[in-house]
Amino acid sequence: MTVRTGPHTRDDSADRARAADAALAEVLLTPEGRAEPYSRYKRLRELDPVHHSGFGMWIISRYDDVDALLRDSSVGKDVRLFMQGRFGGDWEEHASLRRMGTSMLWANPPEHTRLRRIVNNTFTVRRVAALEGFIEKLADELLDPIARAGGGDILNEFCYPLPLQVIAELLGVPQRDAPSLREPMRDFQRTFELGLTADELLQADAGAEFSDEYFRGLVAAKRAEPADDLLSALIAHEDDDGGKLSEIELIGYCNMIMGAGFETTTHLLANGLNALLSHPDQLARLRADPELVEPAVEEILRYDPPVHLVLRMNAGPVTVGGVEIPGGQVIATILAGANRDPDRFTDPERFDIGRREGLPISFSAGIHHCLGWALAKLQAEVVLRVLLRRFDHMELVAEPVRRPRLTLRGFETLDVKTVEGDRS
Amino acid sequence: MKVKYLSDDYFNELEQRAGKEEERPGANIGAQYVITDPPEAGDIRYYLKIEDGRIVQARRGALDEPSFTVTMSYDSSVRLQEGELHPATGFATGELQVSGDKASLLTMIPVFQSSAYQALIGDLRTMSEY
Repeated sequence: MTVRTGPHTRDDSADRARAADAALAEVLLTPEGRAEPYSRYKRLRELDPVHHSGFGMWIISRYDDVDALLRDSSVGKDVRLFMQGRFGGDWEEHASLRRMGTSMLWANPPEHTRLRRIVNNTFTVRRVAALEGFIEKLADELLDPIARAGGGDILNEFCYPLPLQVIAELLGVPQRDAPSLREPMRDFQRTFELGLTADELLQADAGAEFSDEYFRGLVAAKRAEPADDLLSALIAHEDDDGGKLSEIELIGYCNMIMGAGFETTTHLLANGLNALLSHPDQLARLRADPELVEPAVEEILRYDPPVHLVLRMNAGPVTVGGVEIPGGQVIATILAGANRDPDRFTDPERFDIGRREGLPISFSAGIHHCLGWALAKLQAEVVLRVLLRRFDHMELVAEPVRRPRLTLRGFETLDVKTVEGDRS
Repeated sequence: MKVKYLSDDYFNELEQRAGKEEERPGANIGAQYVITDPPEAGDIRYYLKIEDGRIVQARRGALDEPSFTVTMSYDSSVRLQEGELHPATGFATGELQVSGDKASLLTMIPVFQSSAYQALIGDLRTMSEY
């Protein structure tokens, strides 16, 4: 339980804000902070949980505050405010940034409500559940060469291709085409991160243009020959007044679903494997009791989530944790910090796969709650079951290399040694 | 006109072009830079003095009490000016190292991201000889 102290003097508040900025600077500006951000989130949460940072952005790090803000209907997204602040007035000249300006991810009601309702009606529990067998078979196929070699870079050889091929299967992208979308999608996703050079922005533009063109062709192919997939269902959708989705809207859905459903799950799987292999006692516990797979996935999502922060903008003033934030601000909610709030989770720095204390906030909350949460969890659960079935032993053989990113936190490589069990 | 990168002439040009950044009251910083392994002998030290968000002085040399010190190799500094390395990535990977009051560096992010500062660096890029 966090001890709340009495009112602070102005000097005291300024000191705390400065110390909170120092913690934030370590996360943003040092390799040590990128490698281990959690102790810095803790300092932020304790020093100034609703923090107006030195560079202007508000930073929210307590679970209840993050949850309340994300559910607050007066807080939304303002793509122009954000893009102009970050990329300047000519941001719409870039295909990758323009795409975000038209994405459901950046939309507000009532447009968001319309787009979300349509995709909710097609991205159904039934459609996700039907993928379980495909995921298990694919996981086994992708693990075969790793098993034969006695190990490998499980991030690049397994955690990348699996979600890419799963989301392709869901959407209706032919499996033979899925690998060609990996690099363009990754280049585009780079726009979510701090620190993008002019060359990288051009690469992101090229990635966006490549996938737009690819999906334009796919939409035409599915119109001509519908199948039992999400894109065909979206094409078949009719509004109450009989209206159909436009080509641009359909391409937007394809990009959003592929983009949001691919690398996020890659890093969920890799961060989870790293957590388990770094805590052999928890891995042994899971092996002894496979019923723990479901809570283990929840704990992985809490302990080291793939998405560390999401942004919101407020048109008018909003009060968070007793602090009034004036209108027109960019607000970062630190999901990964909120997940370690001791007011919400007991002994939050401990990795405990038997923890049953409710859901972490890793899939965000409110109207932008992750559309693909059930698919992400299903993949993680199936992967853990397959790994436990296939391998009697797994261990890290080298210190995993973190990539220097924060919005999508993961690794560059994850080298493991595996010992296959007797499958006879 | 061409100037040698990080020479006195270079900083003279920087200083003359500076001051158009948006005013940010209270953003007063002394930023010290140390560039290691330059073509010339020894490290290069230079500093920027920023008052209310505007660069008011850019010179070779050392400040007595800098707010923070950024250290990087000459190669990294060239890549930074040429736009091949983003400072956020440089700091995150350790290619750029900051010591001193890291919080004060945060307050400079809006200054360094501003279109006025980017235009200034763009001008210097076109006139620099390495």
